[in-house]
Amino acid sequence: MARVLEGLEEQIEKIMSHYPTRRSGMLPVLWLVQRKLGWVPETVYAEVAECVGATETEVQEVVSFYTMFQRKPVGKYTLQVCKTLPCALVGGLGMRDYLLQRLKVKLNETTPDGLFTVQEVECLGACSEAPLMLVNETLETRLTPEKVELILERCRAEAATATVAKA
Amino acid sequence: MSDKIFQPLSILSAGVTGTCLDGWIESLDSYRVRHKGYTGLKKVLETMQPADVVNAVKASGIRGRGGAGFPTGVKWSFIPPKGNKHHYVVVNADESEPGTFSNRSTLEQRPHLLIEGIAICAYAVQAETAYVFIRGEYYDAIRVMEKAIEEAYKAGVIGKNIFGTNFSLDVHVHPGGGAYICGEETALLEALEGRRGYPRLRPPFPAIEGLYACPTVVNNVETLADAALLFQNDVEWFRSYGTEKSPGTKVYCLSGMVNKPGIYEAELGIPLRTLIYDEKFAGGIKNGGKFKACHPGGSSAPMVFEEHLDTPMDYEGPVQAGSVLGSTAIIVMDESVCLTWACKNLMEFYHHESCGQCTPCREGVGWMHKILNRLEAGQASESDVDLLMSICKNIKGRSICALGEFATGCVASAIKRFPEEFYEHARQGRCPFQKEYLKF
Repeated sequence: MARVLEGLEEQIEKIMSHYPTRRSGMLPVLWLVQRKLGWVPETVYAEVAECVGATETEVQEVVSFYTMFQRKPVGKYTLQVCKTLPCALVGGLGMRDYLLQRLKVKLNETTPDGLFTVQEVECLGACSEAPLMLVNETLETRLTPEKVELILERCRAEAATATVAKA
Repeated sequence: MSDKIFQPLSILSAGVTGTCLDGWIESLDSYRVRHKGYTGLKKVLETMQPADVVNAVKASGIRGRGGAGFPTGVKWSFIPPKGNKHHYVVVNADESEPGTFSNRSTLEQRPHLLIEGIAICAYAVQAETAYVFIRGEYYDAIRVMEKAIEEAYKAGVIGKNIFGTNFSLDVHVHPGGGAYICGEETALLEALEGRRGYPRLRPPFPAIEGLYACPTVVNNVETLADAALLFQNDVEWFRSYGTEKSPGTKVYCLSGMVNKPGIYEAELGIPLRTLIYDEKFAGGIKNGGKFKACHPGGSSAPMVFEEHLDTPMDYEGPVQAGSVLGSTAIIVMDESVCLTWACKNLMEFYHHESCGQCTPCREGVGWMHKILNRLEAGQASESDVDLLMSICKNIKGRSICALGEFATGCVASAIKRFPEEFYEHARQGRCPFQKEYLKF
């Protein structure tokens, strides 16, 4: 099997140059894996362990502790809805339910077309702009049903364009 | 005012069109031309000894802006004299306290203000390396900081022999992985070392054995921004804002049921009522509602109520009201809010975010979460409310860090002020509130 970290050597060594120990590169290297694959499969633990000078168990310990690392495959777009108090006071939980209903999925489930996974997350630190969610790496704020529809449309269109480009 | 933030906060309102960062990030040039940028660092490096810098920070009365309020100059003075060991500055930008979003704007819009503060601090404690630990969810902040650091290296305000002196400093961004506990400084150091964010037992304190067992200063973003502003001006200027015991300004975050949620910089000591009601700030309760309660300093600060609205928002004021200044994140709730539900929501947060090392926090907060779930669903008895209070007492002061204690503050303050509301859930076997605010 091809090594997941293959082709990332330069980036990895740049990261490692920031720290006196390779072990400090643990989170940054896991981020590289997640960016490349969309998630962090167990099969990559051995490779990461070797890279940062830890054991496989130690890698697993870290991956399972930090909630941003996806331990199961997710859709092309993860919709991470904030459910903490400041958002919940202004419709955040209703927005979560709206998304689940519109996409006909349960939390952490991916739509059959592989596009969307809805997840709950804790406070995202932009509470004046509630209700909000992270769509992959983009913060979408002051959401309304209309805005949510636009976002879903935009994602679908983007995915379709990408598919055409690939073909 | 010192403009630690820029208004309006348009980055966050960019919405469907995606983020519109360009144009809102202060470049190094603009920082220099319009805001005395890096003149503080120049002054420090060319005219002051490290000990003078520490003394000036002590004299300014800057206190930790992250929540604890520890005097910054005193913290810096705990770093031992330079020996064989490397010294580190670590910036706590793991802004995860519910309701708090002020560091985000400094990181995203004024990255050089922070970098200047970092360099001043590093000189004062003779550190060679600094890490900016930014929570992983702040994708934009991470990108902006990385770019700004690159820019700063090129301009020679960090890197080798800054301003031609023999002081050199490396600065790196370290993204987190999504864990509230990493805002606790020793958990943050563990994360930086590539491990689970488990808070450490103290002593040793980070000043003696912090990152890689070396002397380390961990400071909040706003604390270091204040340090930069202090040296661009002077102690007298800094102390002309705020109060005797709480000098300077603070960025207050207003969220929840107010007309104009947002971040507002104001002098320490400004009354809570002004921040919530004044047109220059949050502009009153949404839809003409009536104020019921708020967390004055993030969800970890016990709730305060109507009778506390005249509390001065400095380090001492909220303590008089049974709370703390914390991160000055004010989460406002109007009369329609069910406090049992609000506590349940936050216990879900603390239960999820407890690192699991200490039994009182791991089990106790989980237990409170379960009881509140039952109470809210109408499946608890009145004695469960008393049980909640007893669990609160038993968590307090019994774990390595303060996370468990933070969870109890919210529940205990709400039950003490509105006990009947909690008992009513048990008596009626249902939640007596309509909770219109849940609707999207």
